[in-house]
Amino acid sequence: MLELLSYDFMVRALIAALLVGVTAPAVGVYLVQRRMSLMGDGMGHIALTGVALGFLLGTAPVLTAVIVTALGAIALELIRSLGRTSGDVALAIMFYGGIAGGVLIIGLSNGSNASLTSYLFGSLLTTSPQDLVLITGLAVGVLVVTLLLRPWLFAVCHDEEFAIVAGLRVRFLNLLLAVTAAVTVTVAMRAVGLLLVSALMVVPVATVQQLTGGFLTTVLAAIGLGAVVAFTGAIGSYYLDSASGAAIVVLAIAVFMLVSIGTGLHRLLRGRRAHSAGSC
Amino acid sequence: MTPDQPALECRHIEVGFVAQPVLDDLTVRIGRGEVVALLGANGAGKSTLVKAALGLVPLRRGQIHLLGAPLSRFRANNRVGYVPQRLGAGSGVPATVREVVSSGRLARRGMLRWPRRADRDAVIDAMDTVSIGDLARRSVGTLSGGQQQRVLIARALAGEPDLLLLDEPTAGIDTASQQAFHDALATLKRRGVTIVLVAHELGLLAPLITRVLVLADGGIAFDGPATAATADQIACNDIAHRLAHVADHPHATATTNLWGS
Repeated sequence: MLELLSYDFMVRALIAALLVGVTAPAVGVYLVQRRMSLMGDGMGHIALTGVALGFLLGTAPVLTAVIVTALGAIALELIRSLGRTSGDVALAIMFYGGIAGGVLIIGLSNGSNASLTSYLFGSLLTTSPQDLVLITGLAVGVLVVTLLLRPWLFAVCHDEEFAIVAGLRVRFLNLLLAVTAAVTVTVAMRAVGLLLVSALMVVPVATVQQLTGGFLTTVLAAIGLGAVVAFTGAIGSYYLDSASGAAIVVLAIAVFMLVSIGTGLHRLLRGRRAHSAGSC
Repeated sequence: MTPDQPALECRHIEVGFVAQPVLDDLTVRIGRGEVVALLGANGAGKSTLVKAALGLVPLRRGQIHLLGAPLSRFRANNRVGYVPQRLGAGSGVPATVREVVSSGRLARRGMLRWPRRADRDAVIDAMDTVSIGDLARRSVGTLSGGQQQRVLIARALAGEPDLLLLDEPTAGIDTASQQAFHDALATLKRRGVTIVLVAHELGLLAPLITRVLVLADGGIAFDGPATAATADQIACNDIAHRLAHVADHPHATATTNLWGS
């Protein structure tokens, strides 16, 4: 383990993994609360177009991905709140449009599909010092928004009608959350890849909420679990020589299943005990 | 708002989602301190009237004034409380009773302001008013329907509203919750809060209600005091049926006894 830390690229990879592990569930908790868990996936697909645009223009793909994904997120939010199209249709259009646009633009830029693979499935080990600076900046921004505005975002995601009546700035908060989620997708794409980014936003939340009873506890526990699985998965992917995103997500899902089985058994045993106590 | 200004005033409002309007040329004025029950058959537009008053559904025609200000210019949101029928779809992550009730205080707290002593006290007072103080740390999802309804009422009370609108707060709740709701309503009435509640039947609440509005065919079919003690025995469909006769009667007055005692 210690010998890993003697490689600069590995240190950068682990810091990036930790940052992603912390930020993804911090935003994901609000998406799960709104029952829009697949929104991160839609944004991941849109980000593909952004990455391809970066290749075409010869600029940093992370930058173009942030801009394109944020615009996509704003469009999705506006369609959801203003239009007659339902949220899931808007998401579906985002899925198709993002992938199709990405493949089309990458073809125009004469780029290879191999260069896209690192963005699709994650490639932590190639994190450059510049990448790390950008990821750190974006992650701090995401955490400031999601933690400082927690009561207001909670109120809007918990019951939007009530938030409107209370005079909260619902549209602003919704757009802010959408843009924050878009930024998170871009932060996380180097670590887990665009196709798996949503898993790190949703699975830690889905895991800990089986054990928690409050919102703040869920937020903090999901952030903690996200950090642990991202860090451990990143180390695992080094030893297994596999894509970091796949290792992190498989680990996160394994923890989810363990917790689900554990809580299921606990409920079963408690039910039996209550039943036998009742029949005495 | 001057003392003679009504808490809620609807002038010739029309609300509809399809061709046929749900509310059609409806005019009503609710004074400060009144405790009004909105009754009517399913689909009569009770919930729609409440949502229109709060700006949650658009008006096709007419005007609504809330606490003396036109709805379009109304900014005193912290003075209005709303209790929906049930918690919306957005409840995928667990939340404690205190967290949900505290969200009702945000209108008074202001953006990015740390909660003060008064904010914390208001949240505790709101929970105590509906007797859920001992459930503060419990997850809302683990509570009974009646207890959850009380959480939503406490959330509205945390903002210390002058006008409280409740959409079927007593639908399908247990006796303990009904009693707690009755006591809370009595406390709010003493404090001078204007209350408008949608109900199917008055039950325990009948003595607290100062005015009954019955909606039918997009308008107000009856407007008068809840006079008789047997109100709780009469279902709203029955009321609507009786109203047809009351309305036809040449000497029908606002005080006509609807409750058949």
